Amino acid sequence: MPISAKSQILETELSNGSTITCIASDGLIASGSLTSDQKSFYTSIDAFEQEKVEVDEKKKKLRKKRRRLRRKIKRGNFKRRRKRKMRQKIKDIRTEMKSFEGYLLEREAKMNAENEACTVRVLSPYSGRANASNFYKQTISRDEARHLLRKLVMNDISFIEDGASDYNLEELVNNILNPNNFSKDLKRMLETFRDGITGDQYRGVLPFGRPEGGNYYVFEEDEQFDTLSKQKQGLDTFTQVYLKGYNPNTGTLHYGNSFTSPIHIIYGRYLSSIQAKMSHIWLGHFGTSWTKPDTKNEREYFDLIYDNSLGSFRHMVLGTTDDACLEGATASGTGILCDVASGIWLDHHLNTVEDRNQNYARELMELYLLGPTDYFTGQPNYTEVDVVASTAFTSGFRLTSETVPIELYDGPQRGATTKRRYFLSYETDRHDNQAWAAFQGTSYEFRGPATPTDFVAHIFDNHPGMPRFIAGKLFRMLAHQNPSEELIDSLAHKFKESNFNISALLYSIATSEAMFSDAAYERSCIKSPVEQYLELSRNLQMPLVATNSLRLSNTHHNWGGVINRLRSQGNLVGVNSLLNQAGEKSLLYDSVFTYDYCGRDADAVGGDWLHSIKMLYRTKNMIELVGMAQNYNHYIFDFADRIDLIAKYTGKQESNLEPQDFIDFFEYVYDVELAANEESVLLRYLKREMQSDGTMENVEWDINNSSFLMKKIAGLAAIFLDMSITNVK
Amino acid sequence: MKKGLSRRKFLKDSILGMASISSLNLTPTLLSEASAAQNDFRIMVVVQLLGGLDPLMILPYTRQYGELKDIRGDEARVNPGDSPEIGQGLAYHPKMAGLANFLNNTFIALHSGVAFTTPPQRSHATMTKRLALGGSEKLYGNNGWTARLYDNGIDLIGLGGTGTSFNCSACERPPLRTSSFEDLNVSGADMSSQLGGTTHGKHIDSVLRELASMNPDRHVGKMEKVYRDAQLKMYETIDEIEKTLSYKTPLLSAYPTHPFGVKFRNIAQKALQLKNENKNERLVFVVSQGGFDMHSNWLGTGDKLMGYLGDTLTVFFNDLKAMGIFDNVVTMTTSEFGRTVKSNGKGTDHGIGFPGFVFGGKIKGAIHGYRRTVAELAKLPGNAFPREFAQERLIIDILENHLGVSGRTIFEDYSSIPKPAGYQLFA
Repeated sequence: MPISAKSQILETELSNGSTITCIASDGLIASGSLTSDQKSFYTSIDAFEQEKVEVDEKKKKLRKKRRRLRRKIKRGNFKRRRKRKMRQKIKDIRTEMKSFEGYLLEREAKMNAENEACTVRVLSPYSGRANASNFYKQTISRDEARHLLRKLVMNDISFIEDGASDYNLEELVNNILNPNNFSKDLKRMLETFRDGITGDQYRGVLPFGRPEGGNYYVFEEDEQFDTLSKQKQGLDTFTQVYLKGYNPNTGTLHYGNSFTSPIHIIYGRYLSSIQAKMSHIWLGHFGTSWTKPDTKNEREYFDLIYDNSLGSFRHMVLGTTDDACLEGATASGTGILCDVASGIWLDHHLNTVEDRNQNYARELMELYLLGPTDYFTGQPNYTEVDVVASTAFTSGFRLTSETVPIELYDGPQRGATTKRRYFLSYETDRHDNQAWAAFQGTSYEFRGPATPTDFVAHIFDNHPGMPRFIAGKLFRMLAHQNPSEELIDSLAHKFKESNFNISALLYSIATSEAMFSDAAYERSCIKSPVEQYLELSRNLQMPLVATNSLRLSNTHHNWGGVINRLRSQGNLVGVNSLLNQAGEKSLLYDSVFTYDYCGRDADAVGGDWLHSIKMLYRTKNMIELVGMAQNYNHYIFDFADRIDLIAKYTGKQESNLEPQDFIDFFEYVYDVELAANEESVLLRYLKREMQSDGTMENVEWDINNSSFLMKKIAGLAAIFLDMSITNVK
Repeated sequence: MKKGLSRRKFLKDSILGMASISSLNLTPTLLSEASAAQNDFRIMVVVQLLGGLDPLMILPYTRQYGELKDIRGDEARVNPGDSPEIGQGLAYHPKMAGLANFLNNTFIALHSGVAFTTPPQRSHATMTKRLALGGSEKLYGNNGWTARLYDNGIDLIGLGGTGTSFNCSACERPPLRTSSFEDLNVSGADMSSQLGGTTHGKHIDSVLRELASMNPDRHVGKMEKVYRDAQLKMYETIDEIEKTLSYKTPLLSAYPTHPFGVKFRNIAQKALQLKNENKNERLVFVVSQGGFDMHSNWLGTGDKLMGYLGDTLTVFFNDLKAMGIFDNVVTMTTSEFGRTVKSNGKGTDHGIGFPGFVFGGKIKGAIHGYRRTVAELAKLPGNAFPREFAQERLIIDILENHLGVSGRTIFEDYSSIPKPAGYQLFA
């Protein structure tokens, strides 16, 4: 960008009232106004450009002189002494030119560094340094706590719903990392499916109570959800029944199929928000997709990722013991290394001593454990020779299967009661047991013969790039995009020391000064559609399951009836397909790049994600998802009821709430501060209604009109879902 | 055409820019053609076949069924004898046989994508980035070669999935990216009936448009700006797309209905629009098709994808010919790398060289650097075709001879891109 343009931007930003910071070689110059020092900084760059031109001219002259001398030596018949002198002159010219080049390079590097550092950005109200890994401070403000929720848990504001003015950072982070913080409305949702929609607490009531002898209910009549473990079990039972893959056309149950994908969304909506966030990251990290026709055991893959998403990364990859994957087909506690779905996705089972298939071995290093190059040094973490060797080390798995009973809830069932369950079994006669060598010439060289688990454990234990890769990726996805090498090294060290405990790494990141720095405050990643939807639906407690479908006649009291109705009308599977259109095919990725753009290279590819078509569906479908929450659940849910959250946030009586309070509430939910001109557009929306001919009419603000409230709160929810500032994190 | 840059100014700048450098090997005919008054629109279609391209899209021609068995193992049942010989003892993959009708306008070179001046690698991430950049990150940062064209006044449209990459984050405004024009031709959002239905949906839509088009009186960060630009582009585009789709080309109904076919149907419609409206646009389409990463199932998936390519391009070229605009369109294929030649049992792994195609009415038919017999294939070092050609050379020629842009303005390493003896892309 030309310097003059940059000055212009600074001026414009300032005139818009932004606070800026501009850092030049001598440190922080100013914030708040464009100082004379900054102007002289630009002038010095302009002068440098001129200097470059002059130096180029000088170099040209020197080159000419050198050419002349060379020609002279070649043609002339000079005495040895004279020749020596002339050659010395040529040498001097070369030295002089080199010094010019060196000078220019040095000047340019310095200028570029200054120019790069002199970016316009909003100063955060917090005091953390961008590259400091040490503990930030014991007590943080409510705003700082709010900031942390935006970075870590998709704006889950339930962690600060007590309204305290400050928080103990350690306690707050431990609370966030606790996987037992479920959504507050989970119990109610389960009870709805236990009882049907009946009773005074529901609007509309009757005649949809629990039918005598009906068997479409998931739960027993006296089943209780009064503890977290019962709630988790209840949700598991529900999702198992609902999402295991019932085919109403054939009356059979499939152990895994594409209906497994929405489980990611239902868990994210009702269970732990940090686990939802981390499983979302890990699903993108491993990138397994079930777009291959022979894919199998998708649900086990999801469970493996979900269950380990806050635990040990080593266990996630290798299993609870390093050799778990070698211990027979049905061994428990196995890791990704012998997971069926990801194995099929990357042809792991096709890699044998006879037929080498490099797909799995290459991606094991590139995607799972190392990355192709070190983020900071640019040095390769492995070579093509290593791909060949690791193909041999990881060979030997075979896809096998056996018939097992379907592990379903203990209620009535139709159709099949057994299923084929698949395994990746390690077989030594398929394994290449030769003395291959990987990472040769490095301090972490590895030589065979070795089993697949030996090789992977070696990477965990010895390859310095492994903890750097994971720590760097998580830091960039959760805190900010430009950490220093020292910062990541420090986090990587802690990660390895904790035996690759993910929660320990998250704790270090969340409590670091860097998390409360200007860089972390800046919104530098675009949210994925799943995140965008989950954060609003969770905060507004929008139902994810279409409870209106419970309104069935007695003739539909069977599995096929309920599930068919839920599927066709319900917003659970509907959510998944709408989010697919918006650009995020949860667990059905187009390529190994998946959607972790923020972790990969946000600057390079952030925009490439936002196709017009994706943007259109992102906009359109988010509006429809808001509509569906109401339309398919109006017996138990009404946007007008969410006025209680707004009143709680503002501390006002419901009857005293003004349009501005509604806007303030949504700004709080998203942790954003809108400009005055944006707020005025929203205020106009709240005070007007479009007519069928497209004209606008003013409407009276009537807080007691529930149908008006329902429309406007839902409308604001949809608008906030689609605004630019709420789509970056 | 970018805002603030008129066609006249662009052409003037291009011509002046090129005229000032005498040693650029520019074709003088280009300049006169570029300034022609009417119906001189030029389209370049860059087809990104993602995943790494099987070099056996071009097979040693043989009528001995199963002769390729030694290379592809028991799975090898492709018989190039099912396809007409295309010269030099070679044949297309049988599913691409229809393209043999355009041999006089098809240039085939064995290369390994762009970034010729850097060592080839076999990583998707690294090579996809280079594919988009047209060289190494050291030279171009994160700004792709089509993005650099866009910055030089050439309009850019991406028709792909999430795989299509311009690396255009640094562009002043975003180019159009969509899966196809038809996918973008949908009406706005509805609210459910309880929430006011379509009218309320339209009200929300109008609020969102207003918010997207205004300048908020606050700091807008870099990534939010990317998002806002994409929003604006979307609103602009959905208002325009309907017009393009109203153009009916002669072979409109003959295009395959899979997404790859639809993309080319839309390109043909855009070309017809430019022709009928006497526009002299310079337009680059980047079209992507994924799935070529065939570590397994090269017969099933491979047949399907080669079929996509062969069937679609055959209709597309015939359609352009029927409209009399085959000369106005140059189509080029590329990928991030080639695949290994010999099978790994079910498919192939990451390799180096692959056949790149350039098609167009003004393209001179030739096969460059691809002569291999079955016996030679089996002995290729590293089980991969080498890199024998710089794809940048093809791109530069297309830029200079078709789009009227100096290759030097797009490729910093212009001087180091080799030009093999006897090479000629345009007739």
